[in-house]
Formats: sequence, C-alpha cells, structure tokens
Amino acid sequence: MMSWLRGTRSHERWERRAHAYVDGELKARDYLRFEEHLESCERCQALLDEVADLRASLQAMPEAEPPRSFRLTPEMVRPKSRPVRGAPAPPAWAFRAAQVTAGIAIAGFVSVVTIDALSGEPGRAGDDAGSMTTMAGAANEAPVRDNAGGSTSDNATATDALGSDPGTTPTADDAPPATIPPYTNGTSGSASTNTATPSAEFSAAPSPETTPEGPRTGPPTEEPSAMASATSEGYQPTDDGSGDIEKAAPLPEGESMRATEGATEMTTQLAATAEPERDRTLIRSIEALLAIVAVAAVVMAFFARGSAER
Amino acid sequence: MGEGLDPSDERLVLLAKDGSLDAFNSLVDRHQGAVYSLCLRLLGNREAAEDAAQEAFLSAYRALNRFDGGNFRSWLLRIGANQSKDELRRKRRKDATQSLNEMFDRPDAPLQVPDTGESAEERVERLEMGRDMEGLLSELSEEQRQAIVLVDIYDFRYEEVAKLTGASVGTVKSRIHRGRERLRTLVLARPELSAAVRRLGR
Repeated sequence: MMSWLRGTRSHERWERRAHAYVDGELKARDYLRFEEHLESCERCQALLDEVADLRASLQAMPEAEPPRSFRLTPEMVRPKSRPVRGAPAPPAWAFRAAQVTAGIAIAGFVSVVTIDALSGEPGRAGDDAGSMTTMAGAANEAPVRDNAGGSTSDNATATDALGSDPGTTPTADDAPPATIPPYTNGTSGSASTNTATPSAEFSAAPSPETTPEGPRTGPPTEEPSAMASATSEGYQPTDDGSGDIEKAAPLPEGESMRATEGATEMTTQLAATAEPERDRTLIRSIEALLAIVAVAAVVMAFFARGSAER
Repeated sequence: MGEGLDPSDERLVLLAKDGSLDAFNSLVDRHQGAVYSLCLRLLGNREAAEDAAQEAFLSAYRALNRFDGGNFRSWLLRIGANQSKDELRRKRRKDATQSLNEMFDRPDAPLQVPDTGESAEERVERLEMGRDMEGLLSELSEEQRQAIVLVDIYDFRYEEVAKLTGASVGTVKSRIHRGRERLRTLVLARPELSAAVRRLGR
C-alpha cells in the first residue's frame, strides 16, 4: 500500500523530469537516472512521445508573412539630431554677444577700478582691491557654480532622455542559445559613458573655485580669474586700520592713557572716513556688478565657442 | 535553408559590421519572417508585433558590434523577444488578443514552410495542421503561450524565459508543463488534427 502511494508521488517527479529531459534541461546526474527509469516505464515513454510530437507540430508551423518590409533606411539609423553630449548648442549669435558683453564689462570694471585707485588713498585703494578680490572671488564662484550646475542638469536631462529612449529598445547582448539572459541595457550603458566624458569636460572647464576671503584677513590665497589677479597684484597687504589697532592693543595698563588716545585717534580716523565710505560702498557695488557680468560673459563665451567648435 | 548562391549569414554580418546598411538589409530580408512570427506569437497582436519587429532590427543594427559569432538568427530572435517584452510593458496592449491562426493564415502568401522533402499532399496537410496549432496556441493563457512559444518553437532556455518574463525558473517549468498538457488535451479533442500530429511524429 505504502509503496503504491509512494510510487504515484514519485512518478509525478519522473513526469516533471520527462519534460525537462525533452528540453535538454536536466542536470547530468538526473539525466542518467531518468534514462534508467525510462527503460522500464511505459508511462514515461508515452509521455515523451506525446511531448515530442507536440513540439514537432509547433515547429512545423509556417512563419507569418510580414505585413511590410522591416528594412532599415538611413534616416532610421541616423543618430538623433540632438547632440549626444551635453546641453543643446547655444545659437550662433550667443558667442558674439557674450564676447561683446565680456569686453564692455571688463573695460568698465578696469576703468572704475583705475579711477578709484587714482582718486583714493593708497591704503584705501589696497582695501578696495582686497575687497574687490573678495567680491570677485565670490562673484566668480557664483556664476561658475551656476554654470556647472546648469550644465550638469542639462547633462542629466540628456542622459535621462537617452536612457529612457533606448532603454525601451534595448540592444542585444550576444547570447548563444546555450547560455543565459540576452539582454542588458546595452544602450543606456553606453549612453552613460558618453555623457560621463562631457560632464568631466564641463566641470574642468570653469575656473577652479575659491573660498571667499573675509575682508582684511590678508592677501588672497587663490586667484580665481585673470581679472582678480590683475587687481590684486597691486594689492599690498598693509592694512593701516588694523595696524593701528594692533599697535594699540597689547599696551600694558600703565599705558592706558596713551592707549585711549590711540583708540580715540583711530576712531577719529574711522569717523573721517565715514562719509567717503558711502561713496566707496556705491563704487564697490558697481565694481562687483561689473565683475560678475564680465565673468559670466567670459564663461558663456567659452561655452559657446566650445559648443560651436564641436 | 537552401540559400544556395547567396552569401552566407556570416559574410553579410561581416559586411554589415563594416558599415554596409545594404548587407544588413539583406539579413533583414532573410530573417524578418522568423522575427515577426516570434513577435506575433508572443504578443498576439499584429500592430504590436510590427512595432516590436521593426525596433528589433533597429536595435540589432546598433548592437552589431556586440555580435561575436554563432547563430545570427538566434541572436535576432532574442532581440525580438526582448523587444516584445518591452512592447508589452510599454504599451500594455489592451486590444483583445487576435486569433493567431487568423493572423497567420494568408492564402496569398508564399509558402514559408521549411522544405522537408515531403510530397505536395503532405505539405498541404502540414500547413493545415500548422494553422490549427496556431489557433490552439491562442487558447492558452498568455504566460503559458509565451513559455511554450519560446521553448518549443524557438529553443530558448528556461533561464532565458525566466529573465524575459520576470518569473522564476520553477514557474516557467510549471507553465510549460501545464501549457503542454492543455495543448495535448485540445489536440486530442480534434481527431483529424490528432491524427496529423501523430503522423508527423512518426
């Protein structure tokens, strides 16, 4: 009794093996065992015959006639008009416009700085040059970051578009029938390698970023652009205001009278400069603005020319 | 295949890899019936199958540098199967699955049945049997049909089918077993077809 039950259950296993046997999907040990079983089992022999007949009839089915030709035309095969790498190319006039803007802004910047330097006190000129460098650094950083960010997001868009389109029409892997899964996202993989390069280009192209210097902390550590370095070359790290403070500060108590006098002196000096300070602020704002515009224009010109050359 | 004087697939593939669109299109001519039929059987819908087949050839052309040799048709069929999978996912075709035998039955079409050295009568009988079998395939569930088509007609491995359909190998096996069992039942219910199938096997 028990062996009969066991026989039924185990025969289902043999039937499953029979299907796999026909498909050539049995592992070596199971294969030999099944062939041994087959010699003495009529049920399995019949099953094998039926499955074999079924397969033959399926394979004998005629192919469908394609409703049209699937030949490829050159238009189909041509890569998409949108450039593969990076953001869409800016229009032709952009380069010219960027050049002109850069020129005007640089000229304006230099002239204002010059006038300022000539009319102001040497110390003040140094101050202004220092703060200009600071602002130039900040200004340089801002458009650089924006551009890098902009181009990165453009890159991302391009990648997404490429990734989604060919992603849905994946290219083939070479898979001989004996091995396994044909398809990886072959196209999107190559698309991401294509866009990786321009990302590197875009981030390398803008000038290296600097950290903004606090005012009056000493000479700038990096020269973010030619402009800023041109102005800061004239910059002398002497700072009369803080110099006074330094001299005044470490006096011992016995010298408090003189210290107070020094402090008063300094306060007077600062008060005296209060009025021209307002003008200075205005001029500094103008200089900062011109610096920003000039840098932005130079960077845009670089990109525009770069894209035009491609 | 009886191609005789035409250049072999290998030679056309070499030319196509070198950039000849003409050579590739000769390959398209040669294999488009097989690829389209596969897509049609997997998708059960003519428009979907057309889209999938066209995309398959475009995809194959772009991926030629990745074909390293071996059976070119098998390679194309795998691309076709993947395109069909994407077509299903992309469009979620809600159109009713058309009857496969209707789609395959084109009286004006030239015979594309492989030449097995049979007599004219045998050929006609086999064509009729083929048409009936297509109809029976339509009666399977979509998953069973796809598994049977890929394994029994196009010799895909279980693992490949599993990957394509997003199922486990065990599920694929069970679909094949059940699909075959169902087909067997359907064939047995049709005496003439049953006889023809049996004759085919002998």
